[in-house]
Amino acid sequence: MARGRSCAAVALALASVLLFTAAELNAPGTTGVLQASIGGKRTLVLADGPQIQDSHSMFFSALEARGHELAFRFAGSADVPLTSFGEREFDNLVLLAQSLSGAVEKGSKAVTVADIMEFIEDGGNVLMAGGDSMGTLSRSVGALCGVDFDPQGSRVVDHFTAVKDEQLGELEGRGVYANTAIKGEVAADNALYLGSYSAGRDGAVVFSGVGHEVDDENYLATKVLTASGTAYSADPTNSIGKFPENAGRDTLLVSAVQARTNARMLFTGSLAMFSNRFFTLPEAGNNVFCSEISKWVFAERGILRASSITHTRQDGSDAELLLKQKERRDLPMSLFPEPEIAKNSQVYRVKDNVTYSVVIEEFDSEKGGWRPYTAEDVQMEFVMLDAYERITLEPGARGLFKKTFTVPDTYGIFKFRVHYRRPGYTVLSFSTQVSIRPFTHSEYERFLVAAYPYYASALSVMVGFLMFCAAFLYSKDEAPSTKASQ
Amino acid sequence: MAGRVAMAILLVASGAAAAGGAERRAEVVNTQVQRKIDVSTQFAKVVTTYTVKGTSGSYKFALPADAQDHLAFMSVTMDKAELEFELDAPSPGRDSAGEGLVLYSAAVERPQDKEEVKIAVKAVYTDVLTAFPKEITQLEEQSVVFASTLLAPSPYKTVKQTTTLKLASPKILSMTEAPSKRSVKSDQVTYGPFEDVPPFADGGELRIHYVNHAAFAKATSCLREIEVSNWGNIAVEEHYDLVHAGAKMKGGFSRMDYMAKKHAELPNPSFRKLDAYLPAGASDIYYRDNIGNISTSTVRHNLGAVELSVLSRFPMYGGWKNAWYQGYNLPTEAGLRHSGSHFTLEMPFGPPFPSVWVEDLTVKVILPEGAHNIVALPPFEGVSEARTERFTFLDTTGSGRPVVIMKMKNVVKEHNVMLKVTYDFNRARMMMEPLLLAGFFLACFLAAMAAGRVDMRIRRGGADAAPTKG
Repeated sequence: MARGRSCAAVALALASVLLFTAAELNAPGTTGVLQASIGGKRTLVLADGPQIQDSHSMFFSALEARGHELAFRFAGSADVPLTSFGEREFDNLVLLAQSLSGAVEKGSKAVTVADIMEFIEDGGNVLMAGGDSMGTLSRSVGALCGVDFDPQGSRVVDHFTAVKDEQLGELEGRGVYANTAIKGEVAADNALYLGSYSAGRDGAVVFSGVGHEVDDENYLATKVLTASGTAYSADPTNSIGKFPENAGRDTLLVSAVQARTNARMLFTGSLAMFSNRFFTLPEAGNNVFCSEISKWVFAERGILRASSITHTRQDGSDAELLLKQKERRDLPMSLFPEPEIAKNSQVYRVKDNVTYSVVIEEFDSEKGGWRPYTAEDVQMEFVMLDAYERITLEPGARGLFKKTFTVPDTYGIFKFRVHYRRPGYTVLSFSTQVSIRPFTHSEYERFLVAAYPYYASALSVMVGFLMFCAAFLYSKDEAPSTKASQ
Repeated sequence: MAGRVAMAILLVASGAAAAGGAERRAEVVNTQVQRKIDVSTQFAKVVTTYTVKGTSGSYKFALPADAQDHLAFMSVTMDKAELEFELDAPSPGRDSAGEGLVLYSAAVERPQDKEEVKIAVKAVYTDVLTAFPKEITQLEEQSVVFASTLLAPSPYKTVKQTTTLKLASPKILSMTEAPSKRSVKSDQVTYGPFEDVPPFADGGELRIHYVNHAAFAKATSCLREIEVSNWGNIAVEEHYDLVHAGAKMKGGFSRMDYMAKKHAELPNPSFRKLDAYLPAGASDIYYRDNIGNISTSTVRHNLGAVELSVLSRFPMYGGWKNAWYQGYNLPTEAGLRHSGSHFTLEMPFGPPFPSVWVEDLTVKVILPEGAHNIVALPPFEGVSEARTERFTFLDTTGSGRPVVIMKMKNVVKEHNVMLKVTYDFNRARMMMEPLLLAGFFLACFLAAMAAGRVDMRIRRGGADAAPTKG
């Protein structure tokens, strides 16, 4: 345990050092999200009662083996501040509870929906598994994150993929609840979520509980596990009169959500999915699946970091400075105040060829921390309100992404902007401001062919004037006749 | 054996005299150490009084090394007399017990009739109170954390010592427990007495988290210009860039909440008023910023000082910034003395606000054109000095007005002592400017007179210049 703490401390220190050096190297005027925090190891488990430590011990020991320091709190005595004095007390929250209801001890305060939402807004990760009688706390947190659980009493039922085993509990697939321990289908074909899990090798994930749905337009959420085409969601103790709550593959079993703060959340309606009973079911892949998906949730995988953001002209020369730092004479400050303009603004000219580069790295705790990221789809936009250029950066060695482009023929204040959002990865969104100036007078072309008529006309006027002067000066009027004057 | 080897090394390294000194030092005992830490403002003012037996020649005292960057001011006194002190170079004889500490030695002359002496070390630290939480809303209270050690480490044995903390408020959120050795009385916390403390013992961490609504006014930069005119005026102008360095404000600002709190006289993490103590005789005081005059300031003439209270245009909340300048005129009698052509200027070095600390202070002294043999005597070490010249009104010769630029970092109230600048100035040169003006007007009149006497007409007038017929 102590070793885990020191490891985490070292990792945090290392991360801060790296962040610092990275910030040093970036071009001036760079802002935005350059890095999401890598997974911390302070993990809080909120559960209904202490029996969870036995029934789900395999999942917890897998977390502890990865260095997580687990703190357990139970309903009634769940007086634990997720944040204190504005700082998160925990990095991760595991909410393995039906309702967390029960008499709260005197003087203590139960965890509220607002507490959990604040925790998420501060960047904390949440793994939430409800159960058959999921309470309002879990449902509200899910709803606020875009995950709608099916109504109270409903279960996901599948008569075709149901597992029948002696190990299953009373509510998990026997008697009235027969056919509710079902095999899920993997929907997110992405190694960032699933890691080394594969349904073919490790066996299907067995699920027993409440289904949910996610809006198709919710791009923050990813469907990880769905029910099979023959499943439906309804109350198994009643006959189904109308259409069931959910049917077929629309019934979601596990969903992953990544908030705008890069906080990660996992929602599922099955408490049993993480239990020892389901982990040890023959031909069930729950053990591998739950362990792998928790690595994504607790930010041990799929974290991106951008650093060394540079821009130069194609020939390697730096941008000009808009207002050069002039050596000023010593003058009274109140009579000669400093001009109120942005100094050291980086300037390129229209039609300049500019090279932009950024180093992107990926964090994977299993593959040894930060390592170069490779992708063919990292795009950079050159933006002044609208994107004037949208170019795909070329990947190079050591995570370097680079491209040369011609600045558009419009002057103003532009941004190099990278907004990189890919499933399973944290979002990178950063921009670097530069100014684009028009040609100076000395930069325009001289003696254009098109201007020859104008040159000719100017010269001809000059020559004509000379000729007129000569004619005027050196010609003599006829002498006026004396008759006319008299 | 090891001790003997160490002693031998010491003997080789520092000679017999130093070893003799070390032997005598071994007898030195602190009969009492009283440490008073005042954290009721944005500073930590630590006054440690050592009652010492058996000292002669020099006395060593220790300060924490990690706070050394925040140390703004230090003084050592014995019976109200200032003592010289210097940083000790780490000696090879010192063991690891003194790690994390910086040793100073002060020159102490023990009076013959006294067995014990009292040595007081005053240290002022800036930027050591960390706001926690880092961000608060307008309605929340600002609380800070102060961390130190439970004991004041000393290279000598201590018979008895206590630590007293003076807080800004009686609201303490958490503090280090010390069973039966701690007493809290309103906003005063006392740890101790601890008895028979071995050398270099620090007793572990002392951490206190309490509510502090003092003005966390930090001037990121301050420029003071002192312009001397030998015609009888010293003009002082000060430019401030101020920031509230306490807990940053999050959320929006509500004027209604602000006024409600103000009328109820509830403590408030913001501040608006700052008091300055200007030298007596200051007149023509102004207080402006880029927009123009700021009308919210009051001046009171007290004995020995002119009290200027400036109100910023808006209340200052955590992280908010403000910039302004202010100035005044002073008759030369108040700061300038001379004997013959040798002048001595004496003006306060630091800014006049006791509650503000300055991260980056620049003091410019502008002397009259023609001043020479300029010697600046800043009152502290660590003041960098540069020279330049300035051309303003009626500066005629190529040299301009000489400017002495002094810069210092981390300046607090205790630094507000007299700065001395001496220079030579030929008093007859004072007449240069009036003569210049008189000469210019004379030249204008002469030119006008000459112009009036020149006949610029093309044709001659008068009877003899009758138009020609033709």
